[in-house]
Amino acid sequence: MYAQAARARARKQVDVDKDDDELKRAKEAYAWESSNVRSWDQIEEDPETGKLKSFVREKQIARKRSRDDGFTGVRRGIIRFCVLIIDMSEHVRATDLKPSRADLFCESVSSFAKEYFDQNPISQLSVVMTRDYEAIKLSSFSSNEKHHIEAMRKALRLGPSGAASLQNALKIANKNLSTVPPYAMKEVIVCYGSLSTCDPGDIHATINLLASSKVRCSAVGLGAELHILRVLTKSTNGTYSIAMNEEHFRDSLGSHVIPPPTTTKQVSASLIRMGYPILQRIDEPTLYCNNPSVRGRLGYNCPRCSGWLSEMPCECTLCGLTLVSSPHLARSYHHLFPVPKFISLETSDLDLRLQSKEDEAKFAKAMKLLPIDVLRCTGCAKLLEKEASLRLLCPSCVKVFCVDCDAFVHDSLHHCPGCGV
Amino acid sequence: MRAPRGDFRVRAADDPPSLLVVILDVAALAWTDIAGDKATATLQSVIEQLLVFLNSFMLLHESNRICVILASPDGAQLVFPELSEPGSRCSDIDLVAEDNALDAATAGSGFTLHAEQTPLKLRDAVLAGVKEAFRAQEGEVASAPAPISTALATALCLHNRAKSIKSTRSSLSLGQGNGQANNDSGTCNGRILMLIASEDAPEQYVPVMNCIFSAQRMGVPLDSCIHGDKDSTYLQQAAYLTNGVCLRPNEFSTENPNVLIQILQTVFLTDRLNRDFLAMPTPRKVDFRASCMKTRQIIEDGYTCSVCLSTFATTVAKGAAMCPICSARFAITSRVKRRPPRP
Ligand SMILES: [Zn+2]
Ligand SMILES: [Zn+2]
Ligand SMILES: [Zn+2]
Ligand SMILES: [Zn+2]
Repeated sequence: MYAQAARARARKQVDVDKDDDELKRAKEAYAWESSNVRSWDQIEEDPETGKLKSFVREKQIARKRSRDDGFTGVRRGIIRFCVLIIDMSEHVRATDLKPSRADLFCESVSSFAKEYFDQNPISQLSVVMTRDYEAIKLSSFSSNEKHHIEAMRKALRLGPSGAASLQNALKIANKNLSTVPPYAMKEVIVCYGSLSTCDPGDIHATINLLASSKVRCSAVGLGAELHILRVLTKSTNGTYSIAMNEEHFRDSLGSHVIPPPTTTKQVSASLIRMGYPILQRIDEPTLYCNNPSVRGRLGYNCPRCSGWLSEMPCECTLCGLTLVSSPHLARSYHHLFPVPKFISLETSDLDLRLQSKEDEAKFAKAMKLLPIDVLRCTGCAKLLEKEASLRLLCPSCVKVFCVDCDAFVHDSLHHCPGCGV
Repeated sequence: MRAPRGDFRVRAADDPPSLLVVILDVAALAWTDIAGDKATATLQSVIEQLLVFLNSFMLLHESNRICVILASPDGAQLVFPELSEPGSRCSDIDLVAEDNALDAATAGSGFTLHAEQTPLKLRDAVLAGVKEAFRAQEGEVASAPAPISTALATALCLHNRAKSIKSTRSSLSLGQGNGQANNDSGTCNGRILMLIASEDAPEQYVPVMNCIFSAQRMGVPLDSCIHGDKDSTYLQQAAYLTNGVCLRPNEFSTENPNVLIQILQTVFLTDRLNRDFLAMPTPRKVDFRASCMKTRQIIEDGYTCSVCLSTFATTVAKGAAMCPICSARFAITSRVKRRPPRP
């Protein structure tokens, strides 16, 4: 009996060890364990000319390589309904993270909400707080970041007290998520500071319930790893990370801004009836339907019932039609039409994926560019010398770009300045 | 309109210089549509007025900088500052000096071009560029409208370069008490002004929107002045989302093209900081309607695919088993349960 248990424990140990996360985390040293970085070590003298060798190029290559990692072509859940669970127990009064754990939670969640709606404009958020052995819903699902920032201020006003109850919080989250439409991605993100939970019943039953209703649960913890959070995140395909410092906590929470990968089983696709109204300025201030205490001259007319509304995206209060503006939808189109990865123009074995005659013409064009010593970046007109800086090529328009423009085009612009002519 | 602050004079002296990128539409077809036989004369007049505007912009601050991009059906061409083609006649040293000059030009500090030379150079460069662009379009039978997204993307790359130079400069000169360098290095003080004659092209929608979002993140206002007789949905949205101004001056016509200078000077000369103090023209409406991805028609209500957020007109969406864009299979759901209304 004892041996069996030991074997089971050993197997579990191996499982945990296999966890990619775990391995990655083990490799990362704490700030105080890493060696000193001395910038002068990177400078080297050229023995022939006596000049300092430039390491700009090596740095550029490293930067390009680090940017090329990561998935593309993954289906992501773009319409998300996410419940944030905030631990407001006595444990978050601790000041090991500055100014205090509770302040860090509130500040990070507020900035998370801003970025979340910037990246996922037609998704929704809700905040649940747990303290005093119970859980309270602070804000209902909405797309307005102000509601959630106000909710976090309220949490801070109430202050930390008592013990946290993970089960109660998860139950409220599950209840909230049960009315979400089937095409939406259901998520829970737990910000946990305690090392314990005070539950009224069997928390494993609640976790199974969440797993069966396809809710993806992730957690960001402080201090040490909690077994129950590991179980929760593992059985619902979420991620779990322990923050080492303030910056790491912000980054870990911030990593949830990008929509998570999904499968057809998790989220079903469907067509959603929507209205795309025009922003109008009218002569006479009129009462808003969604906010009946305010009059205004700037607003939207619902295309179905002509209701006068003040903000978007929202659901028309009169007829229930989902209203969005086309820029909200267009924000995610760059996932659909991504800019091809730029390839470096160094040797003649260019990875242009030759398939047709057209591609051969492209290859010939690229070959002509290769021996030229000084080229000009198509984006910012910077001069690119052969030896000094990395030169990159857009595979679809065969034009040269610098490293800065490569990063800018792929991270922010999502449109190649050379293509589309 | 707010009252000017008390320390107005101090602020004016501390105003950071700005970088203005002008995009001039030189699509021959579009100008012919607007002005018929007088296309060249009208464009000539527009350029003359633009040059006066650019010179007044240079007078506002000693380090104000200008880039001019021509948008033609062949793509975008940076005509000012003038850059020579690398690899041909010039030596490398000249090119490097020129590159440094461009750095200085875009970042706007330290380097000052000869004051009396700049207006002439600017004039020559722009006129030569326009002539060249028109010559290139002559042979084509049906020339397309100018792809605004290409010019806009190039302009944003220039802003990005200026921003990165500025931030490295300010990190280098920190602690030297240099007031100008640590002046908001996070957001670059730049603008883009578009003088557009072409109409919106539906295939430009996604690229233009991507450029607009990028400009919004960088804090670069997108101003536009439309010369055609149709409103531009894209440019209206660009102005609304980036706090810019989009105007289609009614007064402008082929008979009377000289009214443009007044609009340029009164509306587009003010920079981002000073716009807060002035009553800027506000849009009467901004068209946020979507276009059907299949039929390209403008729709006010329709269907959205939950996977890729493509929009479809009701006629296209009826009975579709699969998304025409991302080919996701739609689940046959009889009815979506509505959430109870919020209290
Ligand atoms: Zn309605
Ligand atoms: Zn570049
Ligand atoms: Zn390209
Ligand atoms: Zn789709």
